[in-house]
Order: sequence, then C-alpha cells, then structure tokens
Amino acid sequence: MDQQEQAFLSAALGMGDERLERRLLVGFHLVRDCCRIADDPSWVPRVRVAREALTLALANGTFAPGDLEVPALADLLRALDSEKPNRASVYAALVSYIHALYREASFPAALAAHDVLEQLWTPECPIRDRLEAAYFQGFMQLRAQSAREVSKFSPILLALRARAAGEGEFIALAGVIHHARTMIMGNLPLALREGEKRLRQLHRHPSLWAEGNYLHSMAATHGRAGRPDETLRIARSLLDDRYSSFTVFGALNLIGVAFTDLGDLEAARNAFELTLLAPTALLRRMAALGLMDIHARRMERRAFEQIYRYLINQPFAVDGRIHFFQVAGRGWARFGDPVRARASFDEAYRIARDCGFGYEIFETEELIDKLPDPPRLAHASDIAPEVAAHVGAMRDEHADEIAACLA
Amino acid sequence: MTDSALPEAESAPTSPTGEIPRAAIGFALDRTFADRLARATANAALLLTLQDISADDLCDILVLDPRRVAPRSSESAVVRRHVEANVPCVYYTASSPEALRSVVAASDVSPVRLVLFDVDDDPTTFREVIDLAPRQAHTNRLRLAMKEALRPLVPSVRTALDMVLRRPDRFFDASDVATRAGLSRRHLDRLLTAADLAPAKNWIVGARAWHVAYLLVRAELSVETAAERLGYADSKALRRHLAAVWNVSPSQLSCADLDMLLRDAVAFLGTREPDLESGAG
Repeated sequence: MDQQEQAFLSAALGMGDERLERRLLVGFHLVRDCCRIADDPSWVPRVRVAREALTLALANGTFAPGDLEVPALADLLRALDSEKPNRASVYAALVSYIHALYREASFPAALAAHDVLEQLWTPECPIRDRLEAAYFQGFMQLRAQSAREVSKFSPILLALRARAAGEGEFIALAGVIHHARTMIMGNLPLALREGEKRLRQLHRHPSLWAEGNYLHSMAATHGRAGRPDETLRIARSLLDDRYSSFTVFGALNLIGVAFTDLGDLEAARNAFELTLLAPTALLRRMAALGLMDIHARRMERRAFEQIYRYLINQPFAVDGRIHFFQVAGRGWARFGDPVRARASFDEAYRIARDCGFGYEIFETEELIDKLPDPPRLAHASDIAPEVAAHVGAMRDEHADEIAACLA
Repeated sequence: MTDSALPEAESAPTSPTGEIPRAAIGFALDRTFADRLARATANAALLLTLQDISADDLCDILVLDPRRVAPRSSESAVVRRHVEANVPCVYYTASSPEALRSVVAASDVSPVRLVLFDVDDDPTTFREVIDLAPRQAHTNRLRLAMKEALRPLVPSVRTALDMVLRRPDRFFDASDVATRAGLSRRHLDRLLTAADLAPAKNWIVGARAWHVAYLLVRAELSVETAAERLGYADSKALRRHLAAVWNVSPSQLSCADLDMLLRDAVAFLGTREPDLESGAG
C-alpha cells in the first residue's frame, strides 16, 4: 500500500468526528487514483466509488452547501474521470483540494495529499500551481503540530523556487510564512519590525494576497503584544472587498478577540457571530471559540459547555488548539472548577512546549499561576476544620477582651 | 514457496512481466473475494487458506481482508510469521468505511497494496498487483530502512528521494532529483549535507543496485536483462554500480544474503562520500 495512501487514510479515519471522516473518505478514493497515476502514468482511474460517495454525501448533508471541499472534489473527480487524464489538470485540481483541506483544518490529510502531489508533479504542470501548493504547505507545517520543525525551511525554499520561476508574488508570500512563523514563535518585537519592513516593500511589488496576509499577521501580533487598539485599527482596514473573504473574516475574528480583551463583550459577540458566516470551518470554529470565551466571562455555564462539547473533537490548527484549552481553562476556573481548569491549562502548556510556541508557553504559565492551588486546599482539609474549631473556641473564651480591644 | 510441504502446481506459468514464477498465495478472504482472487490468478498460483498453512510453511504472498484476521487468533499468528519473514502482503477488502477502518487498525502489517472489491479487482489489474508484489516488497524494505533518515528533510526532498528509491529508472543524475524536488542541484546538495546523507547521485546508484539485487537474486534475470530494465545503456555501468555499493560482481551478488545487502545499501545511502565519477546510465 502506498505510504501516502495509507497516511491519508489514517488521517481521514483519525479525525474523531464521523461526519468529517465521511467527507475525507470521498477524497481518499480520488487521492488513491492520484497515487496510482504518479506511480504508473498509464493507470486508468476508477472514480465510480468516489462519485457515488460524493453524491451520497451531498444528499445526506455530510457536505453543506458552500463547503469549500465540494467544488474542489468535483474538480478532482472531473479531472480524473478520463481514460487518460491530463496530468496538469489533475495536479491543479489536487492543489485546490489541498487548499480546501487546509481551510477546513484537516492538516494531516492535507499534508499526506501534498506528498502525493509532489509525486504527481511532472514538468508539464504549471509552476504557479506548484508554488501555490508549496505556500499552503508552509503554513500547514507551521500550524500542524507534527511538522513544525520542518517549517523553518519552507519560506526560503518557496522564495528560491519563486525567484527561479520569476514569480515575485510568491517571494512576498514566502515572507508571509516567515513573518507568521516569527510571530507564532513569540518574538513579537521582531515580528512587528519585520512586518512593517515587508509592507513597505510591497509598495514596489504590489500583491493584495500578500498585503492582506501581512496586515492580518500584524494585527494578530499587536493583539498578542497587548495593543488591542492597534489590532482594531489594522483589522478595520482589512474589512474591504479588495481582500479575499478569508482575510475579511479572519479580520473579524481578530476584532472579536480585541474587543474581548477590552471587555466590550457585546461588540465582541457581534464580530464573532459575523465570523460564523465565514466560508471555512477553521474560521467558524475560531468564532465559536470566541463565543465560548464570552459565555465564560458572562458566567453562562450551559452555553459554554455546549460549545465546549462541540469543539473538543473538532480539528484546529495547533495554535487554535492551545487557545481552545486556554479559554476552556479560564472558563472552568471562573465556574469554580480549578481541577478541570488546571487539566486544560496543562494540556495547552504541553502542546505549546512540544511546538516551541514561546508566547503561548508564557501565557499559559501565567494562567496556571493565577489558579488557586487545589493540592494545598486538599492537603489542609484534614487539619484545617479541627484547628479552626480550636481557634474558634479560644476566641469565644476571650470574647470580652476582644470586644474591649475593638471598642 | 519456501517449503516443499505445500502441494506443487501442475504447471508453472510465468507472470505477464516474466519476473515471477508460479507462486503460493495464502489468503484470508470471504468466498466472493476468494473467487475473484482465483479468477485473477487463473490457476497460475496455488491458493491456500491461512488454516491450510502448516507451522513450518511460508507462502510467497499473502492476500488478506483485515476484517477476517482477528487479533490474537491463529490466523494472526500465521500472518505475523509471514510478516517477520518479509513475505509481501496485499490487502483486499471492501470500500466501505468499516472495511477501511480495519485496514487502518491492522497497523502491524505493511501491505504492498490495497485492492478494493469491485473497484480495482478486475482480473488484469489484480494479477498485475500479485505479480509485482514481491518486487514492491523488496523495494519497500529499503524505503522502510531509510524512512527515519529521510524524516528530517524538507518534504519535497523527502518525496523526491523516496521516488528515487521506488523508481530509480526515472532518474539519471542529480539534476533530475533536484528538478523533482524543485531546487537547484547546489541547494539540494546543501540540504543532503546538512542531513549527513549521501549525494543525490549516490541515491540513484544505491537504489538501482538494490533493484538489481531483486532482479538477479529473486527474479533470476540475466545481467543484461536487468540492466535493460533499469535503463542502463549496457551492463558495464551496472557492474560498476554494484561494485560501488557492495564491491561485488553480479555473479557474487546472486549468492549474497539480502539482509546483509540491505545493511550495506543503507550505509551507502547514509554516508557522505565524494560523488561517484560516473553517471547512472
């Protein structure tokens, strides 16, 4: 069994959510054919099962209207549905599918599909498709726990490839990956300096794609650096039709987070509810997480737990997963459950340490420090009531003297 | 077949590729699935259920539906014995989510191929899968041995080198590997140096030598035919490459132990030495 085929299947069936698994299994049958073609160019794809599975998934609501995966899968199906598929079309369709998987936060499946894409490549495939795939792969490596170490090479390799191909826009996009990496590793002053420099460079080589992403990264960096006002200023400039819907909804999510930090929960709720309309599940989940945070701050336990139960099995980017556990921990702490809060923070801390996310490590340590120490309470529970009773009795004995002192 | 305890075939036809003589196939399949397997092999192979295989026997190939092999059962013990002896295994199951789940769950076996019922089990394709399974299993041994060494590399380089191991006939020199990885030759070499791996050209030579080992040792082809299969201009280059990797001639290679050859091939690919002077073909 081809390693990539096996990796994709394992990723598809390891999502922990039956609906997501059914969606990925449709893709599995097509990715399988891509593996075969990569190995044997004369292979005639067998798309019947994939077509039937896609039709069934559309009919029974596994796919919702507007899901990014649907057009991508349909394109891939169309490209493969031939006795002699055109390699460039199959390649381009697989790139779109990987993009859709990235937006749906199915990172392990997307990375496995990307390995298939590398095998599928031949010189007849358009270079722009290859660069686009490398760009998304760079982000996936950064945001998927397993491949973070490799991500340090992604920007330079993408930039080298883009320069060799004369595709200036992708040189700028390589910078976007680098900038996001700097921010996520926790070096905020450097991220701010780097972002400002790169934005100035974009005046000479304009690219709306890169500009939107830089601005988004800058807004997020200011938010992390404790400047929600700057976040709001930059994010508002992204609420513009010039930018892609992903960028606009991403900005709305940042606005929600900034308002939450400022304590304006009503404005934050409006922003998060708008983000729920985003075309990608990744952003919709972030919006749900924002709403969960608001419910915790408003002490609305039932609504908080409802979203918690929904999100616990949903795929996130690794930074999103850390944020989820932090929000959950803060919520449990507010609801007076320090043991559960500590477990959530410990999980956030573990992931942050595994990934070397400096900012998240410090942030989670601070959150843990703020918790009351349940072991201390537990250890004192056998002696504390006895001593309290003893002191109470002593106080009663000296009640008159104390009253005289207080008079 | 490695043991005479299993019955002999009446005739010994060769595969369409001409590489594999008649094989003994152990299977654990439902009746419908087994019928299709029998039709695909068209009496050119000896089919045995796992229960029919005695404790000392080893089949040449296993065809399993993972749903039919319960953990800790006697069948599972037979499968384990075959896996330990590097016998190639093909998974043949349905395309339902439950069946695919059983494929993922059976993680102790590395099947060379997954064949889905009613999808790619037409006789021609199935027969081809069975015929190529031993060669793929041989290739996979080297791929598995190099898996950890490849892990720290960037994905495009990792995939390119894996492709070299699988299909060395598609690569002639380091430039081909660099092009596939989307890098310049210089940058590719820099990355390989950083990972303390052999230069790309040595990977082509090492992978070709490993494939030659199969063609000469297992498939018992002549040196000339093996050279032609792997895209060598003549057998001289092939001999030179065998000497570079194992310091043996083709006739010495035919008697060599595959485990030892694997160890040396891994060392060859994982050692940084100066580029070999000659090209690959």
